[in-house]
Amino acid sequence: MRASAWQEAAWKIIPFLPILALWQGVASLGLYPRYLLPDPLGVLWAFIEHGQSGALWVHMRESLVRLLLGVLIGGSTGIVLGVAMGISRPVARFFTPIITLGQAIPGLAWIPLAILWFGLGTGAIVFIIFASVLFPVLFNTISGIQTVPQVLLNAALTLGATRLQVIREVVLGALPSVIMGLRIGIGYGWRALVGGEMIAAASGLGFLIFNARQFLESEVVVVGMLTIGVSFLILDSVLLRPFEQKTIERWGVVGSKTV
Amino acid sequence: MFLQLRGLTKTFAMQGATRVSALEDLHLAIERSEFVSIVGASGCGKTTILNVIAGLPPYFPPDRGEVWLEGSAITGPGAERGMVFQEYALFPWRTVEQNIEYGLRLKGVPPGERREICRYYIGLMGLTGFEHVHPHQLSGGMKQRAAIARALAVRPKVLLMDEPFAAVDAQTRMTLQEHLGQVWEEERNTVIFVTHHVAEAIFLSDRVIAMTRRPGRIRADVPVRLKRPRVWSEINTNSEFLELQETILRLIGETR
Repeated sequence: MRASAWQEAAWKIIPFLPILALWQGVASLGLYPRYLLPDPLGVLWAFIEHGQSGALWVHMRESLVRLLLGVLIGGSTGIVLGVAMGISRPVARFFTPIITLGQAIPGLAWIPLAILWFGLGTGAIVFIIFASVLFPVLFNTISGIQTVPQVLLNAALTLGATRLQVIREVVLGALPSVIMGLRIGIGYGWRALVGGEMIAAASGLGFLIFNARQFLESEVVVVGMLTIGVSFLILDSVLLRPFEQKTIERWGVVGSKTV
Repeated sequence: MFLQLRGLTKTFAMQGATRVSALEDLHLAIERSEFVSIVGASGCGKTTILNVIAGLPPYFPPDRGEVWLEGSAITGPGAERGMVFQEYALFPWRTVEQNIEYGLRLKGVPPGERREICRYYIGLMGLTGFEHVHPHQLSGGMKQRAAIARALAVRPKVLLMDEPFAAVDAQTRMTLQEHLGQVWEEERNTVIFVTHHVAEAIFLSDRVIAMTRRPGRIRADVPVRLKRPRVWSEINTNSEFLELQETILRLIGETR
């Protein structure tokens, strides 16, 4: 058992080794200047340098705070509006055309207006994340509510639930979908964040890599790219995925097949 | 009279303009502590009857007629008319205990009392040891035990059961039928039990109502006087039981 767990882990790293070797090999030939093709050791060195100085972590914290704010605002708006649309036909009829158009406009397209409204910096970035997180959360909340079996609501009614108490059950029933929407939304938000920071901010991981290019510090660009990728992987696999898995299991979405 | 159905009529819209008549001018009176089964082929409106009594839309309100319980007409769903569904309808996000507690919590029963009532019904339905388990971890039979415990815990005046054992295997079904019989003898709830399984109806009931096919009307109202407690090993070969079964099957047109 232990051995196979180690193997599992090892195979998450092994595929990168030939890529690293090839990369280092080509870079060592010296055919290209370092600003076009930094070598892996140079990247590692840049990582240690920026990690020790703390600059990398400052940018990362800045990005994560923006992501958190945008997800909080966009997610809660999406859930509240989604619940309202899921349980009320008139509300759904009114908002459906609006959000259908809204979700077709990428979050990044809001950058110009976001800068005009909020100025360069966190405000504009948070707004872009908001516009990216809102729609997946909204749509998944609505579909989650629509798939709560009617018989559960009937059960609540015959046990003495009021209309408000039934709505509470509906929302609880939709939770796995809501969480899936949040997970997708956070993915969209993360992409929008990096793009937004390149244009509308003077800090954050997106800014870090865009700014490093101007000084031809390609090692720093790669360090930033890897940090962006790895921190999202950690966020997703340590926080979001297990949470989603747990609700799906508990809600019987998977378990109900074992009747 | 404890529970009265007075001239219930209900039609449903099918595709386009066609309407299907589920019930037509149905009258039925049920006494307190009676166990009454309603049997009939599918589409005879037996489930409609239960849902009208429960006050659940779109069955309620009926097109015509009223349901009277202890001297007043019902106006919608309420905890005094508990229901057990074929699909169990347990809340997947709550444990067995939390499911059973749910109705009591809505009623505002204090936690101490709630736990006591809960423990009693968990014991009664043979769920001891499964209190903290989630529904998806239970077999079909155990789920239905939990659903029955949940419905009984709020002490409804009428317990409505909609083909509760239709989804479990034959062996489990017989065990559950015997268990429900024992529980009923202890609790003496008024029960209306809907099934298309004639033997099950006779085994459990004081009275079996046989329905005609669409539109649903009462074909016959057959008293069952088999002594209780009833167990399948005896009932199976009881001549009175077999005669009743024969009669009712012929009435609902299911004999071949």
